[in-house]
Amino acid sequence: MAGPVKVVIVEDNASDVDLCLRELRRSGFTVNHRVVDQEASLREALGGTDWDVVLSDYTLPRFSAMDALKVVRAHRPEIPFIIVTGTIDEESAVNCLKRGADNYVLKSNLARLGPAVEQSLRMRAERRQQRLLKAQLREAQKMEAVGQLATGIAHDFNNLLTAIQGYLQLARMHAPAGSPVENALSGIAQACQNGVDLTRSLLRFSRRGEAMYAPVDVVHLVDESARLFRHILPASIEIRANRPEGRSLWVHGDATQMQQVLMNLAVNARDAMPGGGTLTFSVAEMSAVTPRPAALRAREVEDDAILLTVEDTGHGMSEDVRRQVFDPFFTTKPRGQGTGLGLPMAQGVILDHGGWIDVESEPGRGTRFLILLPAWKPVAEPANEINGARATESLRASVLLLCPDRQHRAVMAETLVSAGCRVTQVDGMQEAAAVCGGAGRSYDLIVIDPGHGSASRPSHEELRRIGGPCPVILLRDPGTEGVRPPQPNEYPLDRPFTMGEFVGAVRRAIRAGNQGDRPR
Amino acid sequence: MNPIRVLVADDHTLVKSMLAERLQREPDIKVVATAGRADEAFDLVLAHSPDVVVMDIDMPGLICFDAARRMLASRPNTRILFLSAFTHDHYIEQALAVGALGYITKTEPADTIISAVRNVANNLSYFSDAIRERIVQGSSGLSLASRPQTRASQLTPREIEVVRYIARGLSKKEIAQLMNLSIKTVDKHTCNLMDKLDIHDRVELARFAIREGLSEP
Repeated sequence: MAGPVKVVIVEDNASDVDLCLRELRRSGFTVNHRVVDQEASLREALGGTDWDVVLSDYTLPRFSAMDALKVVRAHRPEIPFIIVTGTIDEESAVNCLKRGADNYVLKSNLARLGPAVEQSLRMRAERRQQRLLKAQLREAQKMEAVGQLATGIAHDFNNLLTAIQGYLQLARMHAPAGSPVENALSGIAQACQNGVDLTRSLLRFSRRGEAMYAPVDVVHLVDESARLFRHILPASIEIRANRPEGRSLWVHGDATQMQQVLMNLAVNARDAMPGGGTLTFSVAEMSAVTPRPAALRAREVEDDAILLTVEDTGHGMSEDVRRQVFDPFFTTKPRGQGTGLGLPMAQGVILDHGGWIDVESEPGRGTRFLILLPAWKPVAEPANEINGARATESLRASVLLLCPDRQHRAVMAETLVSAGCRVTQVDGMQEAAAVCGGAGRSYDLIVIDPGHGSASRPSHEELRRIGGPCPVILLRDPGTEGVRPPQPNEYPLDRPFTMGEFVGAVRRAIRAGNQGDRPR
Repeated sequence: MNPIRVLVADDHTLVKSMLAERLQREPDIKVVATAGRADEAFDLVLAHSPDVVVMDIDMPGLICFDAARRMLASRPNTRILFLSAFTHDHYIEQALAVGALGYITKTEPADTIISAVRNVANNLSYFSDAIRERIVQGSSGLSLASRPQTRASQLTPREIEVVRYIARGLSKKEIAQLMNLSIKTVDKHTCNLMDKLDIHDRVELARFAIREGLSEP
C-alpha cells in the first residue's frame, strides 16, 4: 500500500524528524511533509493541504501531544494521529488512545512507524467511506421525505384545482359567448389546466416503489420533462426539445425512473451552466441520426433503437473527470451539494432497461449525454389498443344481457354500450321472459351469465324461447360440473376473461350470427 | 321520471360544495346530502337511501372501501361511484372488490362526473376505457388484468385495509373499532401481513404503505 503520503510532523528536534522521514521512506513511502512545533503553525498547516497523517512527539517545550490532538480533532477529525515518543509509559499511551489518538510508536522501535502509518491510512479510508455512506443515507431519507411532502401537496393542490375548474364551469354558464368575461374565464381555465398538468408531473416524479414496466412514449416523456424542468431550472437556461413531429417512439420501461434519469442529467446541466445557457433534449430513431455520434461509431446498433440525448452549453469536463462521472460518490460539486449518485443511478436505470449511456464532453465546449434504448414495437398503436372497443367499427347491435350480479352486469353493459350496442339488462330468466314475452322483440345477440355454478343454467329450449334464432354467448366457469356441449349458435366464453376479450367474443358471435355460421 | 338521488362525500369542503352545486343544476339529479367523512356518509346512506353515492377515496375516519362495503350490505340498491385524485391499480381493484360501479379521477371535467352519475344510476358502470379493458371477470369476482406484481399484491383486501389504518397511525384498538373486528383479529391480520412483507415495525410499514400508494402522506 506504501506510496505518496502527506505528513504533518509535530516535533522540535530536527534529528528526530529525519529519523521519522528515513523510516517512512524505508517502508516505501514517498513523503511530502511539514514540521510544526507550536499550536499556531499546526492550525495553519491543517487549514491548507489535505494531510494523510499527523505524527506527534509526546512532549515539546511549548506544546504537547495532547494539545496537538485536540487541535487536529477539532479541525480535521478524520486525519489519523500517531504519537511518536521516546518517553511514554503504558498508562500515558492508553490515555492518549482514549482521547482519540490512533496509535503510538516508541522512538526506540521506529521500525513500527511504517506499518502504523499504513494501518492509519486504511482506517482513514474506511472512515471516509462510512461518512459518505451516512451522508448518502441522510440524503436518501431527505429525498424520500421531500417526495412524500410533494405528493401530499400535489394531492391537496389537485383538490383545489378540481374545485376551481368546477366553479369555472358554473361561471361559464352565465357568461355570454364572446364577452370579455368569457375570455377571462378561458384564461383561468387554461391556467388551471397547466396547474393540473404540473401536479400530475410532480406526482409521477415523486412516486416511489418498484419499477413498473409499461410502454412509454419517449417523445411524450421528453415533452413532459421539458415542461416540468421549465419550472425547476433558472430562467437563464433555455430548454429545447428536438423530437420527431407527430410521432411516438416507444420503449418498454418505467416512466418514473426514466424521468428521474432526465432530471439527474438536467440538474447536472444546470450546475454546469451557472451563468445560463441552453439545455437541449433530443430524441430520434437511430436510422434518422446522421452523422452518428463518435461515441456510438464503434457499436453495433439496431436501426430502430432510440437515441435520447441531453446536451448543455456549460463548462464541460476534462477527460479525467469524464472517465469517472459514473463512479458512485464521485462528484465535482462543492461539499454538501452533490451526492455523487445522480449519474450512477441514471446509468443503473438505463442498464436495467437494456440500454446504454455514455457522455461526450470537452472543457469549455459543453457536455452531451447519450442514451440508447431498445425500441418497443406495439402490435397496434397502444392508444388504439387501449380503446379497442371504440377504435374499431361500431357494432350497432341490440343485445340482451342476462346476469344476476349487478356489478358484473353493469361492467359488461358499459363495455357493450361503448362498442356501440344497445343493451337491455335483465337479472334472471324470469325477467328475460317478461322482457321478451310476446312483444316479438328480436335481439342480435343474447349474453347469458347463469351466475356462478351451473344450477341455474338455462336449457337450450329456454334460451330459444327468449332469443329465437339469434346467437347466444354463454359465460361459464371451467371445471364446473354439468357443462354441456354447446348447441348450434351458442358460444361459450370461459371465465376469467377481460372486457377486451369479451368485446372480441361479442364481435365474433354477431359476425357468425349474420353469416349463419355454426360454432366450431 | 324521478330524479337521481345523490350523496356527495369528500373531505375537501370546496370540492364537495362545488360538486354538489354542479350536480344540483342538472334537472334529473337531486343531491340529498353531503358528507365530509366516510362514517358520516354511511350514516347518511342509511338515512336517505340515495341512488348513487359519489365518494372520495381518501377521507378521514372509516376507510372508504370499508364504508362502501357496509353501504351495499345495508342498501343493496345504492350504487357507489368512487372519485379520486389517484389512479393506482390498488385503489381500482379495491373499488371493484367492494362492488363499486364506477371510478373516476378528479382531473376529469365536471361533465364527466355527471355522465358517470347517470351511467351508474342506469346500471352501467363507469370506468375509463383504459381501465375497463383491463377488468377481468373471474369466478370469484372482478379484478384488474396484468397488474404489476408488487409486494402489496400478496396481501388480501382485508390486510390492505389494516395497512392503510396502520399507516394513518391508528392503534390496534382503534382499527378494531373502525373495522368492527376484535382486537385479536386485527392482531392476526397485522402479524400475517408483516410476515408476508417481512416488515416488523409500524413506522417501516407506514413508509411501505406510502411508497406503494396504499396510503397518501
